[in-house]
Amino acid sequence: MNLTLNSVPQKTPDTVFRIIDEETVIVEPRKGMVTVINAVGSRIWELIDEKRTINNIVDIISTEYDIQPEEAKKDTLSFLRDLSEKDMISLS
Amino acid sequence: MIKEKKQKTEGFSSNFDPYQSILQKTYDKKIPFSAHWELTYKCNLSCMHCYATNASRNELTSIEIENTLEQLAQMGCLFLTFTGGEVFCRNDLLHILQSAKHMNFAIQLFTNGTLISEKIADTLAEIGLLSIEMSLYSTSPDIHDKITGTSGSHEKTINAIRLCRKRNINTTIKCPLLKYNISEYDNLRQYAEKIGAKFVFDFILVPADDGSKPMIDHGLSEQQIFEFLLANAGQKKTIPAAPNALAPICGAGSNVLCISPDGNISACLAFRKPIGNLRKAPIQQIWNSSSLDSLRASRYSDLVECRTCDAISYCPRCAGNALAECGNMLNKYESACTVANATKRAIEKLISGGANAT
Repeated sequence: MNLTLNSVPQKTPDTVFRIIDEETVIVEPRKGMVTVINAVGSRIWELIDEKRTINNIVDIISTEYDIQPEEAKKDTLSFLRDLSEKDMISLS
Repeated sequence: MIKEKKQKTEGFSSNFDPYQSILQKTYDKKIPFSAHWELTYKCNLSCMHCYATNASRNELTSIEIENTLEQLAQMGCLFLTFTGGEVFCRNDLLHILQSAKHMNFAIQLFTNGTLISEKIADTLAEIGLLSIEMSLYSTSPDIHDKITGTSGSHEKTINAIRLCRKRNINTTIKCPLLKYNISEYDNLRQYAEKIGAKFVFDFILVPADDGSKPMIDHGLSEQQIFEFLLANAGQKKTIPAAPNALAPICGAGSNVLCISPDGNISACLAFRKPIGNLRKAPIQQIWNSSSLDSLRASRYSDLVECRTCDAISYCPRCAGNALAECGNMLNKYESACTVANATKRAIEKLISGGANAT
């Protein structure tokens, strides 16, 4: 499925994770892969709740980090696209 | 804005380089990032080198375990290894694993595999383990069953390995090399490769909980290890760097903890002396007590007997094993010295171009 602002991301059930001092360590046990994401990525990861659209997430990131909506949109889409390509999230 | 670091990992490996900043953070902040949990000391095998000799324990209930999992998750624990005894001697194991998965733990399982059925393997595959590690001592049933003290155990373990691999469960075959199975190394390595499993081996045996020392009767001599390494460790031809004098001696008690079947908390699996019991206090309170201060503060420079040893770069020493074997976690102990000296001799000989074991 294409990633759009109206997409609703959800974490792949196979991922497990823990927040360590604002960074998030995400493990994909079957693949034996570990990904570490920084504070902003961690906040986006936290906001992925199977309810919020990407647009909702962009608005929150723009507000909380006091950055221009366009920049928040660009970075959030890029990050989520990466997670999607790695099958760490799915989209509906 | 968003930076990622990604790495293939075996879970808890010390070669976890890309995660150094996270590991350092968990070490500095005393976050028990990984935990070993001995769920039971019951076992259906009688391995001759086993250290878990105290079988009679008032084991934690399923509810106590679930409560503890919640506490561990809140403390920042991510990597969780369930071990025994034999973990499948607990009939609630699958429920425990499912709870742990639900609470976002990356789960590793140590087992002899003999109780794994098709149905259990299906559930393990569904849960999605980081890995399952099974002890296999030989490709020969006679040798394996002699070491486990249990006729028919080889067939059952082999079957479990097959069931897991058939379901693409990350499987590791692990094997302590003893006097009786050192010649089996190549067969085991080739078998693991053939079925897509990892293979790990070790020379170190640890003292049993009853104080006996299985390494005396069953372990390899320095000469045997030396000859083995000359024949099999050709790729390890570089001299490892000596440890930094100010480096911690290990992560035990800092970002690693261990829970026993009856709820005792210790610094790691190798430290058999408890610092508290989770039935009497929350883990966080036990973890934050002063009981672990000396271990947490120990540095390589504190290893008075070892810091000038010319084999320290090759030494597999473990503070918990040192404590168990010689009574002082900072002193030298024979098992580590044996491996360190054999490894040093072998690597120096390999580097100098000689391969004839003498």
